[in-house]
Amino acid sequence: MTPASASPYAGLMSGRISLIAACILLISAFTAAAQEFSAPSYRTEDGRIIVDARLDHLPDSFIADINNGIEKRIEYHADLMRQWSKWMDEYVSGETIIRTIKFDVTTKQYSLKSVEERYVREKTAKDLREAVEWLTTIKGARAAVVGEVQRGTYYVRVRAEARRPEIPLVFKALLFFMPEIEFSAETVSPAFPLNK
Amino acid sequence: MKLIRLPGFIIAAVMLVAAATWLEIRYLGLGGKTLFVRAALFLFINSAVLALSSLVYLVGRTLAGLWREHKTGVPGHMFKTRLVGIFVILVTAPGVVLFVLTSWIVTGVVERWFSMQVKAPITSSVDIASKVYEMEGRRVSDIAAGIALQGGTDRKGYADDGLVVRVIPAGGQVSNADALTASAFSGKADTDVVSDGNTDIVRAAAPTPDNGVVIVESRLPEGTVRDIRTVRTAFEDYKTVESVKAPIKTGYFLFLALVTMLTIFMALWAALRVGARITGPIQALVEGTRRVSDGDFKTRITAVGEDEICALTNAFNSMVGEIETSQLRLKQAYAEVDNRRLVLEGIMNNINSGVILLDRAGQVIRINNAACAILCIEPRNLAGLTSREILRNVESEELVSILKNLRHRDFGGLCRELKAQIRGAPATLRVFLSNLKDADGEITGVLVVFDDLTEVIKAQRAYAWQEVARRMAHEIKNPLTPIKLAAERLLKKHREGSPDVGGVIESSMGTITREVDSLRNLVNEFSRFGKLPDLHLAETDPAALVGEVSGLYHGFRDVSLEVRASAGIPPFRLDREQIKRVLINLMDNAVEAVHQAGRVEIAADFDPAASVLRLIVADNGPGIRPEDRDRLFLPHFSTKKTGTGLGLAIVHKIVSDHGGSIRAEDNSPGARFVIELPAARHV
Repeated sequence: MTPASASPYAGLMSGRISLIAACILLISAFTAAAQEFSAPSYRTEDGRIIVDARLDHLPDSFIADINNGIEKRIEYHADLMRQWSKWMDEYVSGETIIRTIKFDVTTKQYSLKSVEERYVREKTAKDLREAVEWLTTIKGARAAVVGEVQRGTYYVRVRAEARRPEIPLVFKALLFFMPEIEFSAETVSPAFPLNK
Repeated sequence: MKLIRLPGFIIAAVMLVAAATWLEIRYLGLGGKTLFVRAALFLFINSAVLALSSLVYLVGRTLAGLWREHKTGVPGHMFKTRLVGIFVILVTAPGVVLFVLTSWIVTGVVERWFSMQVKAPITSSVDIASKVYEMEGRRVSDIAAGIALQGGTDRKGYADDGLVVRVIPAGGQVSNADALTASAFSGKADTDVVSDGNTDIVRAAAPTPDNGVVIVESRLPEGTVRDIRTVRTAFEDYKTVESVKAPIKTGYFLFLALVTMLTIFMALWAALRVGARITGPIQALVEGTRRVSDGDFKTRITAVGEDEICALTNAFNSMVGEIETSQLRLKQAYAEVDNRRLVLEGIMNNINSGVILLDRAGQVIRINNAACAILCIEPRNLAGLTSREILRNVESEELVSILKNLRHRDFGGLCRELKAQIRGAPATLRVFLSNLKDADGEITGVLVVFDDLTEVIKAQRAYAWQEVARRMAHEIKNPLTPIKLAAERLLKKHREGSPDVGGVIESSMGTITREVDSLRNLVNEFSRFGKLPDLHLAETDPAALVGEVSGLYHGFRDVSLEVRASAGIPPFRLDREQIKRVLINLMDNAVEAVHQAGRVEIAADFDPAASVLRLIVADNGPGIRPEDRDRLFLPHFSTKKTGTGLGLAIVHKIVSDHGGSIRAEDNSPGARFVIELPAARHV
C-alpha cells in the first residue's frame, strides 16, 4: 500500500493499535522484569564467606539499549541471611557490587566498570559476549566474616537490580508510573550451618 | 442514613489509598527518587485514584438506584431513566470522542519525534564519526604492521604525521589494564581508542618478528573529537528517549484516560445530580398524584427553591388542598343528603298518601309502602318496573292514559279525582301529578302522589245524608207547624162555636194548602235530584256550547259578560244538555252573586299537556267564604235563603259522571268555578 492510497482511517487505526500496545506494555511493566539467576555458590575462604553468582539471561531490550550507547547498570547484593523457623529471616551482612556498561557507538568499544566494596575496576571490551559475561558474573563477593556470625543456620541470597537510565526531566513527570527498576532477580543457596 | 454511610465511605477510602500505595511501592520502584518527589507522586496518584473511585462509586450508586427504581416500578422512573440516558450520552460521547482524537494526535506526535526524518541525521552522524575512528584505526594499524615487519627499526617520519610510535621489546613491562599491548604480545594485532580527557587517541599494536610489540598512537584533533562527542551524546540521548517511547505513549494515554475519566465521571455525576434535582420533584409529584388518586388527600409535597418545578409543586399542594376541602364538603353534603333521604324515606313510608317516582321512561324509581297498600301490590323491590306493571291491579283507563300522556310533557302540576277498580273493588283516588325537573329545567320524571278517598267519600256521603236528613226534617218540620197551628185554631173555633168559623176555616185551609204545596215542591226537587237521566254522550264542540250558554245572558244590561274560548279546542264526547245545565246553573249563581250588576266571565280552554278541557265560570261578586268551600257541593247546602241546596250538588254529580272534577277558587274579588273534563272524553 502506498501512502497515497492509504485509508484516511489508517492513522486512527494505528493510534488505536498504539493504545492497545501501550496498555500491554503498561501491564508488562508491572508484571515482568523477573530474570533467571543460577543458584549462588559459596565457599569459606580466609574466614570469609565468598559468593559467586551469575545472571543467566539479559532481556533483549536491555542488550539493545547497551548497543544503542545507553549506559546500563546492575546492582548486585550478595547477602548472608540467617534462617529462623518461626520468624522472618534475618539479614546478617553482605556486599554490594555495582556493574556499569557503556557502549561507545563511535569507537565500538564497551566500557565496563565495577564498583565494589573497596575498589573500582574498569576495562574495555570490543566483544559484546565478553562484555555481557563480565556484566552478569560476580565472583568473590564477600558476604560475611564467619567469625563475626553467631551460631545458626544461614543461607546466601543474591539479588540483582537493573535501574533504568536517567531520562530528560520533561518526560520524568509523565513517566511517573514507570518503575525505576528495569528488572530484578534473586536467588538463594541451600541453608547451611555456621559455627555449630 | 448518611451517618452510617460516612464511616463506611471513609474506611473504604482509607483501604483504597492503602492498596494504591502498596501497589505504587511494590511496582513503581520509586526508591531512587527523592522524598519530595515520592510524596508528590503518592499524593497525586492517590488523589486521582480516590477521586476516580469516589466518582465511580457515586455514579455507580446512582445508576444502581435507578436500576432498582426501574425494577420496582417506582413512579417517575421512566422519565428519570430517559433523562439520565440522555445525560450519559451527552457526557460520555464527547468525552470518548475527545479522548480517542487526542490519543490519536498524541500518538502521532510521539511517532513523529522518532520518525526517520529525525532519526536518520543522528544515525548518519554517528556513522560518520564511527568511520573517522575506523579509518584512523586502519591507518595506524597499517603503519604499526609495516613498522613491525621491519622489526621496529624504521620509525622516522611518523612523528611529522603526528603519530607516536613506540617499540616494546620482547619481555617488556605491560600494564594489566593495557589489553591492547597484552594482545599484541600474544601475537594478535589490534587497535583501540583511549581518551585522555581532551581528545581521543587511536592506538594500534602489532607484534614484531622478535616477539616485541610496535605501538602506534594517533591523537585526533580536539575539535573533531569534541564534535564527535557532541554527536555521540545526541545519539545516546535520542536512544535513551527512544527506549521509553512506548512508556511515553502509555504515559500520555494514562494521563488522558485519567483526565477523560475524571471529566466524564465528574460531568456524569453532576448531570445525575442535576437530573435528580429535576426528576426528584417530578417523581414526588407523580407519587403524590398516585396517592391522591388512591384517595389520600392529605398528601403534600415539600417544595424547595423558587423555580417552575417549585411553582408546580405549590400549585399541586394548593390543588390537593382544595380537593381535600371539596371532598370534605362533599362528604358533609352527602351525609346531609343521606340524612334527608332517610328523613324523606321515613316520611314516605309513614304517610298515608301513596307516592310513586317515575323516570322519563316511565319506570319506577321509588315507591312507598302506602302506594303499595293502595295499589294492592307486594312491597318488594319494585324499582325499574313500569307504571303499567305497578298499576296491573288497577282498572282505570283514565289513570293509565294520564300517565302515558304526561310522561314526556311539561304539564307543571295536575290534580285529579278519579274512580277506579282495584282488584275489582271500586275506589276513588285523588291523584296529584307533578313534573320533576333538574337544575337546567329538563324534565327528569314524574312525581305521582295519590290518596284513596273511598272511605273518606263514604264518610262524607254518610255525613251528607245525615245533613240532608236533618235539613229535610227541618224543611218538613217548618210547614208542619203552621199546618198544626191552623188545624188547632180551626178545632178551637169549631168547639167554641165561633161565629167566624167559616173565615177561620178558609184562612186555615189556605195556610195548610200553601204549606202542603211547599212540601210537595220540596219532594219534587229531591225526586228530580234522584232521577238525573243517564249520560248521552255525543260529539260536542265545547266552544259552541259556551257560546250558546252565554247567549242566554245577554239580556242583563248591568252585567258585563265576558266570553272566551281558546282556539283549537278539539271536539269532546259530552252529554250536551247536562253540561249546558251545569253551565246555566253556574251562570245563574254568578249573575245572582253580582246582584245582576257586575262582571261575569265564561270561558273554555284546552290544556294539551294534560289533555284536559277546562270550563270556567267566574264573577266579581262577594265570593265564597273559605269555611263554605268544602261543603259547597254537598246536597241541600245553600248560602241563599230561598235555595234548596241541590243546584251545585247536581252540578257536581253531572261533572263526576263525565269523569271530571269541579273546584271553587277565589277570584279576588269574586268566585271562580273550574270544571276539568279529562282527555278520554274528547274524540
